[in-house]
Order: sequence, then structure tokens, then C-alpha cells
Amino acid sequence: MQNTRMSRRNFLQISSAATAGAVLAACAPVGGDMAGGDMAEDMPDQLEAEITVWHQDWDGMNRILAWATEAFAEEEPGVTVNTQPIGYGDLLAKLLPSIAAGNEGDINYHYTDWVVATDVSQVFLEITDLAGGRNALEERFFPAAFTAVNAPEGKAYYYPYISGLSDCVLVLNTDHFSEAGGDWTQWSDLGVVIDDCLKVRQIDDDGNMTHAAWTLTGMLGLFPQTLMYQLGGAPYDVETATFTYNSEEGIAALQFMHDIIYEHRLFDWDFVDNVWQDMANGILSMEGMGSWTYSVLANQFPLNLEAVPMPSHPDAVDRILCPSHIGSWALSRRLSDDVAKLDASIAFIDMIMSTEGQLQAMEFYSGSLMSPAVYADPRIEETTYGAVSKKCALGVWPHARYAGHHVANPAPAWREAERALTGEISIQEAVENIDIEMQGLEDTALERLNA
Amino acid sequence: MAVTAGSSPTDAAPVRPQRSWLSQYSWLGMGFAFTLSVFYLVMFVVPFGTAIWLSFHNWDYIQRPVFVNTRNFAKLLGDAGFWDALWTTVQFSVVEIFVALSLALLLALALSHLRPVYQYTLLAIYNLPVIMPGVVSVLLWKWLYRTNGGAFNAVLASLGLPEQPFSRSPDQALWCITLMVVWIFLGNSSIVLLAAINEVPDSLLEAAQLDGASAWKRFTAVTLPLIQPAMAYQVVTSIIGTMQMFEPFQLMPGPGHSTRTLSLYTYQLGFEVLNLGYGAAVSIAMFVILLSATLFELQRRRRSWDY
Repeated sequence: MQNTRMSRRNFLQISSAATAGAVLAACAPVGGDMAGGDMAEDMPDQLEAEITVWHQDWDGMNRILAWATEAFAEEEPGVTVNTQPIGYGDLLAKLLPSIAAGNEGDINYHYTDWVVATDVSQVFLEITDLAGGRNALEERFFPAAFTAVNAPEGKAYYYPYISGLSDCVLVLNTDHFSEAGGDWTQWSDLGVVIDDCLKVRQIDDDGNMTHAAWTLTGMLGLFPQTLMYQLGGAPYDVETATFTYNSEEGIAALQFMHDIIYEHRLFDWDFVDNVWQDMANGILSMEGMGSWTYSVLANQFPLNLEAVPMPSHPDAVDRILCPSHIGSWALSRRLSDDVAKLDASIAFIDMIMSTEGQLQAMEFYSGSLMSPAVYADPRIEETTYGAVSKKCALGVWPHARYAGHHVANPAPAWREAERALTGEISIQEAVENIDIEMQGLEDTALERLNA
Repeated sequence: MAVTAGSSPTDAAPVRPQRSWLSQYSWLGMGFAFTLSVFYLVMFVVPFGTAIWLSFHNWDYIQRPVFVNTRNFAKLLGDAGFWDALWTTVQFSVVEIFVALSLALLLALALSHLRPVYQYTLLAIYNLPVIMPGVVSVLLWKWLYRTNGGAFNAVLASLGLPEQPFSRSPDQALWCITLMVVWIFLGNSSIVLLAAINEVPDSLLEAAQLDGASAWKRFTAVTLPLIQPAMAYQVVTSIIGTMQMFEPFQLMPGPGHSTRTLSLYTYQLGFEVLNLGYGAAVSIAMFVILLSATLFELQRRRRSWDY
């Protein structure tokens, strides 16, 4: 007799096949050529579209977007703007996978170092022509901003927006330095800075630190790179795509930082636990995490602060500073097939990037804007943090340099630097390890890029 | 003479109408099974298969994947970072399981002598850290470990003892996290072990007592063997849990690589530096290690259950 019962195995085979088919169908790439598409030369009088903006979930950014969305609704009532605040870590983790799946926002906020390890031309829509050409972009923004990502010659894929200038600006408590006889206006180089810090730092009779002057916490990533360049070296050779932290300049850079901790003893790792709290509590006088920290500290604590562009190494042969990533706006490549959305998205970015929009940001953000024209506007001085931002931006960007490598995140380098500066390994071991780790990542990225 | 029984209408089996194989099953049951199959497929089979595929490629989500054969696995064998992370993971896992299980067993034994109402009340209190969001626990402990104004150092100072760097020290950071994890899961482990201890028949313990067995002998000869299945469950789930643990290491990192476990290393390779293929290879290696450790422990415990 024929057995008509379905075995478990049969059932599982059938259900697995069905689900596999469904999943494969769902995962199939969306049709259409993402690379091409006609761009509208002129925008229509009245835009009509619904656009989605992915942006970092940060109080300052939320306020900027709230202002821009409201202003844009008045100007373009036919456009609906959906803003989606996403935490930094989540945005970092989901942006590239979402782009690969084709479901990212129409406008995407991101940081430039997120895309250095891949081909940016496959990530975002090219904006060179949309923004009036490369020359127009370089006039509109600090030119160094377009060197943060390796893009095909002469092409741009993002609108540079803000940068915290991490590792390139010192934020200090002016009361502490004034009382100790220090004068930050005379800081011609880091040797003078160290001399003033020695006046501020306090150690009790038992040898315990009671007041730290300057912590290197939070500036292990790019500060060594800055020092290397200033001493005449280069951590990365663009021509040969090789890292050379293990060099005279690389060792000297880490040794300089090592001396700040162990020879001058401007801070102890055990003493400085939380930079924010320690600055607020008055037991730490200066940090170098960037000009963005000025507003964070000033907003929360009643401190008299000053921000100073990072002075050079005493033996510097060149004035070079290595700022960290740049927060930027970019368009989805999907928009090349949807002129209405493309026009609406460009109009919205123009709203955010307008002088008015960027001046709004200066009410609560002391990092750098990327548009020199905004700093030329006299209204910048009337904003809460405009003057600080202007001083730092104009002091850093003309000297800014990006190494040009393809490592998405230099975390392996700063962890090794940290190991050397906490005494876990020697400086020689650290620079050797950095070269191995960074070179491995560089080679892996280049293998993909050259495939 | 052979008697041949003829067939009669009453002997014949009833002829059932031919039904389609599908109609013999409950649609509801099939629906549940199908849904679970889809869930399992999407949430486990596809990601796991993708991880295996990825481990043989160099990919960054965006560009065409480059097939690299077994290079990622070969690299892993010579990667000091991998072995360092594995050693950190093993240290954390072994110490956490040993300390947590010992404390949980002591706690469960102590509670087993109380009336049920007190057992439940105290267990509910001990279990509070489990229901507290992990991030909150980590932030709380970060404050306790602070070198300036931290509670632990305040206590040490008040006792005239030297203050400690705790999570700022490469030598202490891992053990700071271990202590926190023990605290979080102590109540949970105690519940399982207390339930097992409460199941030990009183008659066996009384018989042992009548035979003159001491309290320690009763524990080692009667209670402990009888709670072996619960112990095995705790050990196996702890091996899996500690090997996969991520949040404390991400949120309360020690200096350098002092608290970089395999799960954190995988995350850093995949999401920090976009080395997805190698990150996947590390995760596959981690899976194999985890599976081996689990099977070994289960096999070892199974033998000891034959009492």
C-alpha cells in the first residue's frame, strides 16, 4: 500500500525549499542601473517628493535638523522630509550594509573615515556637477576636506559639513593657567605649552598627583601622526602604499608623548579617569580631544575655557596637523533614477548648508564648520561658539593633512600607542606592531579596490 | 488437511478513501512548524552560512567580494591578536565560571536551609542585576571602579589601604569585568542550583546521616552527585555565555588589548576596520572552539552521571 503520510524529512525539505526561494527572491538585487541616470539641470518651481534623511542622533544635530525641516517646509511645502536620528555606533554599523541592500536614506550623514576602505564612487552619488564642479566645491569648502577620502580624480561624493578637529585643538581652563602664571596666548610651540603645564600640575609631598595639567587621553589616534609629519616623517607613503611608523620620526613622536607622561608628568593615567568629570571637578586643566569639546564642557559646567589650535612640536620642520574625520552629507545613488527626490534632496542639503543653517549650528557647537564663507560672515561673532570655532578652523584647516591610506579606522594604531604609553610594551614594539596591523588592513583594502 | 480460511466481508480492512498527503495534517500545526522553520532559517541558517561564505572572501559590503580561499584561516593561525584574544577569553571564561558557580552553589546551599518564602524573597533580590539593563550595570560599575571619586577606592582609602587603578590597569581590567559579570549572573545561577538541591530526596540525606555521614560527606556523596545535571547545564550555558559576552568588554574596555576577547575582536575586525572576511573567519574559529568546549564538558559530565 502506498504510504501517503508525509515524513518529517519530506516536510522539512519542502518548507526549507519554499523559504529558501522566498529569501532568495527577497534578497535579489533591485533592477536598474545605479551608475547612470539623467540629472535635472534646473529644479522645477515647486518640488514634490518625500525624502528620508539619516543623521546622527546627537542633540546638536537633532536641533539643526529640526530647524532645517521647519524652514524647508515653509519654502517647499510639497516636500515631506522624514528625519531618522540614529546613534553613532548604529549608523556606522548599518550605513554600508544598507547601501549594499539599497535601503539607506536619501540623504545620509556619515563620517569620512567610514568610507576610506571602500570605493566611494560605489557608495554615494557623485555630486561634483550637481554642486557646480570641483573648483566651485573647493572654493566653497576648505580644500583639504576633499582629501579625507580617496576619490576618483576631480570627483566629489559628499558635502563636507562639520569636524570636531580632534587631536588638533587644545581646550584649557583659563583660570588654572592664569593663576599659575601661564599664558596660552604665547604658546608658540609644544615646548612652551609643556613649560606652562608644569606650572599648573601639582604633586603632593608623597609624590601623588593632586592636579593634572594636560591629558593625552582621547588623542592617541592622530596626534602621533601629526608629530611625525611635523618632524619631517610620514606614517604612510601614498606611492608605495606602505606604513612606516617604525622610523626615526615615528619613534620620536611616541617618545615625545611618553615624556609628557613620564618625564614631565603632566598627568597620570590613574589620576585622570574621566576627562569630562575631571575638567568639571577642576583637577584637570587641559585636554586635546578637539574644539568640539569646548561647547560640550561650556554647556554643562561653569568653566572659563579657551580653545587653541595645537601648537607644533618644538623641533617641527613643517606646520602640519592631522584632523580626524569630517561629518558630511551624501546622497543615495538611488536618486539618480528619481529626479524629483534628487531635486528635493539637493534643496534640503542646501538648506542645511546655507549660511543661515550653519550659523544655527554655532549656537551649540564649537567644532569646525567646513565652509570658510560662513566664517567670513560678521554674524558668526554673534553666535555662542562662532568665534571659538572660527579661530580653531582657520588655525587648523590651512595646515590640515590626511594621510591618504585606506584603513577605515586607525584604532589598531592607537591601541598599540596606548600600550606603549602605559608602559605595557616598548615604543619600538609599538611602532612595529602598528606597521604590521595597519599594513595588513591597507593590503586587504587595496586587494578589494584593485580587484 | 489444510484449512484455508476464506475471506469474509468482516475480515477485510475498511477501505479508506485516498486522501492527499497534505490533508492528513493539521494546518495549524504545519503553520507553526513552517513559521519556526522560516525563523530558524532566516535567523540562524542564512547568517551562519553567510559567515562561512564570508570567511573565504575579502568583502566590504560594497565592492565585489574577492575569493581568498583559506587565506583568512591561515592568517588566523599566525595572528598574535587572535591568540591574545583567545587567551583573554579563556582566562575570563574559566575564572568567571569557577567563581560564579562556586558562589552560586554556596548561596543555593545556604538558601536551601531557609523556608521557601525566604528563599523566593532573597532569590528575587539576588536576581535583580539580571533584569537590570546590561548598559546600566556597566555604567554603575564604571563609577564604582573610578580612580577619582570611585566607591571602591573610597573604601580602600578609608581602610588605609592603597588605592587601585582598577579598570585603568592592564593587569586589573579583566578581573574588574569578571567580578561585575559574576555579580550580574549570581542570582540566576543560584536559582537553578537551588531548584536542583531542593529536588534531592530528604530520605537519602537522612539515611546518610543515620549512617554517620558528616555534613561535608552528605554534600559530596549525596547532594553534589544528584545535582550534576543542573551543574552541567550551568557550566555549559556559562561557557557559551562567557565566550560570547560582548557588552562589558565594549563598554568598559581596559587599556590596550587587556580586555579584548574573541567576540570583541570579531566586532572590531568587522565593524571598526571593515575587514569582514577575516572577522568572519575569527567568528567561525570561535564557534568551533565553543562547540568543542561544550561537547567536551557534556561528555565529561555525562560519564559522571552514572551513579
